[in-house]
Amino acid sequence: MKDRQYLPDLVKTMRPQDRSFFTALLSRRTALKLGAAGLAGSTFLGYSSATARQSADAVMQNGELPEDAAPLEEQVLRFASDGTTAKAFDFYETVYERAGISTVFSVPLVRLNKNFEIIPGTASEWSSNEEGTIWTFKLKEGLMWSDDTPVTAADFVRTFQYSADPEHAWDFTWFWDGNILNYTEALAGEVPLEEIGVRQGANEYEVIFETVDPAPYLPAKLLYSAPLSAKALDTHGPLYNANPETCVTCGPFKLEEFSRDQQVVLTRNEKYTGDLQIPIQKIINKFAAPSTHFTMYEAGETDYMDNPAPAEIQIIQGDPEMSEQMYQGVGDFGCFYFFFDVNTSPFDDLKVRQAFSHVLDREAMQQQIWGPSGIPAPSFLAPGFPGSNTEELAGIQNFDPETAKQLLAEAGYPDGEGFPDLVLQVRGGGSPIEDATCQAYASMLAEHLNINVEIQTLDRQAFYAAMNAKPTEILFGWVSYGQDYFDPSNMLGVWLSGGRHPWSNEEYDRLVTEATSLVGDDEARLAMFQDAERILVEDVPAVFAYFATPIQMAKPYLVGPALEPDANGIQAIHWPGWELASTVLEEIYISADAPTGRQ
Amino acid sequence: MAHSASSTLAAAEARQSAQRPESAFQHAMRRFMRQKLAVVGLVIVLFLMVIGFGAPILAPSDYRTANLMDANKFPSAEFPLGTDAIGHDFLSRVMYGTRTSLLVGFASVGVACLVGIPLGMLAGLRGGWTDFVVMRLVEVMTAFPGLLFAIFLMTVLGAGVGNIIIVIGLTSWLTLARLMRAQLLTLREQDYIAAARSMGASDWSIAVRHLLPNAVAPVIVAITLAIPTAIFAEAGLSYIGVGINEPTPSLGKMVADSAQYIRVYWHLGLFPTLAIALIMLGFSFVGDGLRDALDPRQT
Repeated sequence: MKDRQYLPDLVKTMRPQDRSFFTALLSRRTALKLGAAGLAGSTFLGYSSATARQSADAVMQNGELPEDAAPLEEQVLRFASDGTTAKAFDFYETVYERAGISTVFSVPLVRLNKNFEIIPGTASEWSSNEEGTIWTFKLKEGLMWSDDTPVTAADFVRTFQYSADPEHAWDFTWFWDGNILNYTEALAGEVPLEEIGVRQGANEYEVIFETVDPAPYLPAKLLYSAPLSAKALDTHGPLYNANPETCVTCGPFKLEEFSRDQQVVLTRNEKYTGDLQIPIQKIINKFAAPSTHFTMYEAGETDYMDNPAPAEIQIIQGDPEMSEQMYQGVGDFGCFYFFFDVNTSPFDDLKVRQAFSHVLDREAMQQQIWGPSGIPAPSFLAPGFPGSNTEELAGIQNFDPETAKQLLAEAGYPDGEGFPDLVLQVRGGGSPIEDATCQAYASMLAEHLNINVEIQTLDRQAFYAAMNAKPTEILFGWVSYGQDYFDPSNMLGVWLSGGRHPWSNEEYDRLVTEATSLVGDDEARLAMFQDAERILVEDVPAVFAYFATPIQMAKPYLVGPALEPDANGIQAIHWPGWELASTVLEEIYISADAPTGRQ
Repeated sequence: MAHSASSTLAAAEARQSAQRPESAFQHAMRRFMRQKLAVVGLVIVLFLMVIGFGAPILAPSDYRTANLMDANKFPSAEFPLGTDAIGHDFLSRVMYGTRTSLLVGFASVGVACLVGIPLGMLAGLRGGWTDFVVMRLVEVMTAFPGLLFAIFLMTVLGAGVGNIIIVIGLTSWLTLARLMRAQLLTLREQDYIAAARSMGASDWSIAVRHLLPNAVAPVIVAITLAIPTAIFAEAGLSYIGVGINEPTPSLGKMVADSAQYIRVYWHLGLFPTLAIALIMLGFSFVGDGLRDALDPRQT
């Protein structure tokens, strides 16, 4: 642990001429790029996932705990989360109102290990047709729900139909909209739910997905496929898993307690028939305001926390013991950025947008605001994400106030004269780092371009409604985007015409659309994505600020491979974290050093 | 001879002047100045007004000026109150924040006066259906919790100094309206009003020339006490993020922002909190003093 290096620390140790995080991350990026290529390959035609898969680095062997582990009754994991919107535990009930720990009552078709490799989940293998439009997933047999019914294709079919049901009004339909065959039509109520492209295959242990276009990325996207029980859904109705009385699980945990203003307690499902070997016997998720999480952690009330505030990070870094408990992850490769309505003056002028891109001093922000919680983002795809090309794109939106002034003058606003006062609209509930970044950028725009920017915080729901409106109602805003599946098509798809932002570029659309469906040539596919990203960065529909590198704290007695360096040297709990879409729970346990009676 | 006569006349006038009873204003001033707390409050208010409204001249830097490389510095000779998370000079921010608070306090109470006093006068003078409608409106407005209603309005209108002045004004006119109505109901039964009416004075003339001057003392007290309430409301709304937009400094928002830093950077929470406390104390002392000075019946 002592020689653990954080990303910014790596930068500091370099020669001045190499002192860029891009160089520092090169080896990691390259390695991950190769891993990503492997992932992309793993989704290609006729590939059987069982042939060369990676797996979890499980700590339990044949049901035995490691020698240094605390006894089973002490294998309790405690953490805190903001429970104000906690409503459900299943992805297909709600995405944005889930409790702090979710996707624990069933396992998705595929999972992600700590090297961001797709590994089998409930599916043991998968393959597609020649075109990559019909995908067949073979389910592991023998897996049972706790109501003694088997887990079959019918559960997946029912779950996906439920998600497309307009009456359910699922909050994440965009994820499959336009992707699964007839999904869009079902959402609009134009075709029956039975006609969406998810159906049983040759037998009840085979699920078939049919897509609108070739979808080589589909297995990666099915990380979000943890099923609901068809029988329980029909018997008890929606949210059956939010009540211990009606909870039906095929995962290793069941719901013991859900006190909406207090805590969630998960205990082991005695009827579990799957093959995941998880040391943790009980998970306690305490609901508390985020501002109290660090205090709770310090007081020993929790074993793990993430995203401490800037001042808390300073306290941690100033304490030798606590700094040993700090980890820096890559989260969901989230990119935080300022965006423009490029169809409206003054941002319909490329020179204005370019001028804005050259006054963001990322180096100063890294040093004074982001600290270990973020690294500069000169582009959209974070280092380590497939297709990432930060090194090549670094010079496009670089900090260069003189060029910025010149561009603004060429756009007709010498020294900012005549430039309208702006309102930067941001979503409420952002972190202190986000607030400070926006304030500092407003200050930089005033200092270098003589442009006045007021910052307006909108309620989150109102912000997204305004941003997503067609035409958009936000001229100049601040937002972030992180991956949902490990493929450039996911992140870059955000910028397609008609997507999240009003920017439109035909060549970009062509490259991303063709690359997304390209099957059989990984290298060409990634190259097309990289060309597309270059267009994105050069045309400046957004000024990319930073990639989040979330800080996590784990008590010294929380040990296991999940907290050891991954294949790329990154040492942290990896996205998607404490759920069964990830292998974290198999790779972590409470050591005998833990104080007893922590419950 | 002539000289002697004029000097005698002057002396007589001087004597008469010395014997003339002091004006209402002088009387109130004398009563006000007798109260130590009220004087302390006045000094505080004057001091805050000087540093707030004088901020563009007195502050070390503009409130928008930030040097990121100076972020999070503790109080020192260079930065007497330290700097914040993006390198603003915190003394300047607190001075401008005080200006914002005072501006919101005065202006929103102005809005409340514009709405509340005419409505109260209308109800008190006209009585009957007018009084009934105005008082039902007051009761309906009273049914809404003030802060929640203000949050609702701010969410609809959007954050900003102008909007917060309107919102606080629109949620704090009730007291003034009720007070003015009650004053007029009492005063309009006085003999001098009946006399004025019998001499053919119009309602308008009676209201402006006879009622308003006599009803103004308790209203002034209410206004003075409404100012700190309005300032605190602004601080509260800004604290929860629906008040004033950055980069305009708001003491409430500064306190809110400090929550994430205060365990290390104590100055970010201490100074704006002190400023809010001083403003509240100053205006409250002055308000109490004015009440005692202007409206002895309530003392």
